Amino acid sequence: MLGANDLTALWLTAQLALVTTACLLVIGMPIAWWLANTRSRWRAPIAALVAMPLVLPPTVIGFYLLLWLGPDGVVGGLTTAAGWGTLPFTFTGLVVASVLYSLPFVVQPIENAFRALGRAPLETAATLGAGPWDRFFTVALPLSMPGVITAAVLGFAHTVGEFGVVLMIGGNIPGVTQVASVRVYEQVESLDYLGAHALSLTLVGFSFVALLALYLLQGARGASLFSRDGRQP
Amino acid sequence: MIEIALRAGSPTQAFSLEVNAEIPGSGTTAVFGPSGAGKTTLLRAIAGLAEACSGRIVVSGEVWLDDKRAVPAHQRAVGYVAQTPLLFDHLDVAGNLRYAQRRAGEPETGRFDELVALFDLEALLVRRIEALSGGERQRVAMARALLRRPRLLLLDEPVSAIDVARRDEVLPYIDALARQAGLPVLYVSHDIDEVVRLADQVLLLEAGRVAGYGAVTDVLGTHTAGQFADAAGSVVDATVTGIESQWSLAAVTFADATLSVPATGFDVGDRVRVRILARDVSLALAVPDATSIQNALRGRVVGIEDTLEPAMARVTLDVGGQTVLARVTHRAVASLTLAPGGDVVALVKTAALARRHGSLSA
Repeated sequence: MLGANDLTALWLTAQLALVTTACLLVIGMPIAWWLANTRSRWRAPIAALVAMPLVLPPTVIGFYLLLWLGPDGVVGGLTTAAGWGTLPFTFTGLVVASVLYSLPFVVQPIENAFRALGRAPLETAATLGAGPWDRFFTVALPLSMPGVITAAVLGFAHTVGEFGVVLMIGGNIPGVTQVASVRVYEQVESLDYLGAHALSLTLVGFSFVALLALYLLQGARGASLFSRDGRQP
Repeated sequence: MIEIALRAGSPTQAFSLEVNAEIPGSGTTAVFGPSGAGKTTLLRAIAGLAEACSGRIVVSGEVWLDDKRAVPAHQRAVGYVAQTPLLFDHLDVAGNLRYAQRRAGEPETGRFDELVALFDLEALLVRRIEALSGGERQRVAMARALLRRPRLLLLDEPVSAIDVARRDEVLPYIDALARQAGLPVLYVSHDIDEVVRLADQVLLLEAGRVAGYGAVTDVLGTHTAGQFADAAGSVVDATVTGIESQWSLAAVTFADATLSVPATGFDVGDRVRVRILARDVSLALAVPDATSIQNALRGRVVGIEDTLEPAMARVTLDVGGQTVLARVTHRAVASLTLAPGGDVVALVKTAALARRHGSLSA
């Protein structure tokens, strides 16, 4: 049922989602921490900016990324000067686009978990002699783990599910930028419904299992997916 | 010694705290006052957790706060136990204790075992935090605070979150803790009985200002205005000199006076603290023949003051060198023609006993 090109597309999708999720956790964690703790007047604008991908059409994000990352773009100029070439239509370009596009799905659950944590655990750790980094890694992070896991699963699943941004920035190069969703689009365009079915059902199955796992995980804690309180009372 | 000259709270806030005090380097100092007086803010400021505070804090020669710098909380060696202590519920009891021990840079396990024994935690070590009762949590929190090797212990109403009936399960540990650690302890409370039982000094806080500071026996007798009127009374140090077990009474003696007080569980020779509320003391010119009040102390009137209640006066008596307060009506003062210097008999209806530990009052 699944042809060689389908498997290549699935493998590429999995790689993209893994790398993107890893990048998102590294980038999203400090942003979430800042948003949860700051009293800066820049909080609202930054929070809005992070949430933009939730409401913007993916094509719009893809369009601007194409301009910025392209040879004449701000970022494109820098990457060219650094000898990395331009990012559109490369795997790295896909990662950059996916990170931006899935950012709110990772930042928001982690931010909620950090917020629900409150100040008491960190203050307690401080009076026990733990410095700021120590407090983050030994208290804040372990206590926010359900939120972090939710963020990772959502980031991964959302990256697997993206289409518009990938198509704009990556195009449709088998083995390089052709992810599963784009492959389905191509099969439908060429009226290969059987092939489209095979890949689509695989994605339906994956999405269900990922979300089921998440709800089972959260259900055991009596919280909903996007609840403010990612951890037990 | 602990030197505190502290201002906390910004001008924009309605509440501000201003405390100047020198606290001895050992023994228990109660911080006593009504809710909202700034007791917790004071402790948080000392621990380095309060924002917007300025002034000077020096603990055993180490400057924690002055004009130039504020040492961050994690570098201040305090043992802080909050009202509802927070235990890390991603760790078990042993994990919570080790968390403090590791950061205190303490290689030997002797002290760990010692504190586990002191607080009876052996059976709890592998327990999850959710499975602990309120009293057990307090004991774990106190052991954890001591494993941090503090120079100063800050206890914020450590028993207020525990049922009244179960407080006696925790209070002895607090008593033991102060003695064992040989550390200065600041003990926040709004319960006069706890203060009498545990403290050597008391710092009265009212609306963010120090309303009185000194030895418990002095301060609780003299600072009885306003918010502290309910607690008006005298505290005397005494010794148990007799037990009448068939009446559940103990005879306690101070100066040349003896009181019979309802008490069980005391032995002859125990050092105790006796608290006599002003409202439990009546006055007479001679010892009456037959009355249900069996405690009659001979004394001399030292002073007569008005109270916030127009009908009532507070009479300060000297009973063998100790101060006893009586709350009587102005009419009684007039009909007995009480005046400073006059002899009088204080009829004490009842008094409360608290055990004292010799090593506490150094």
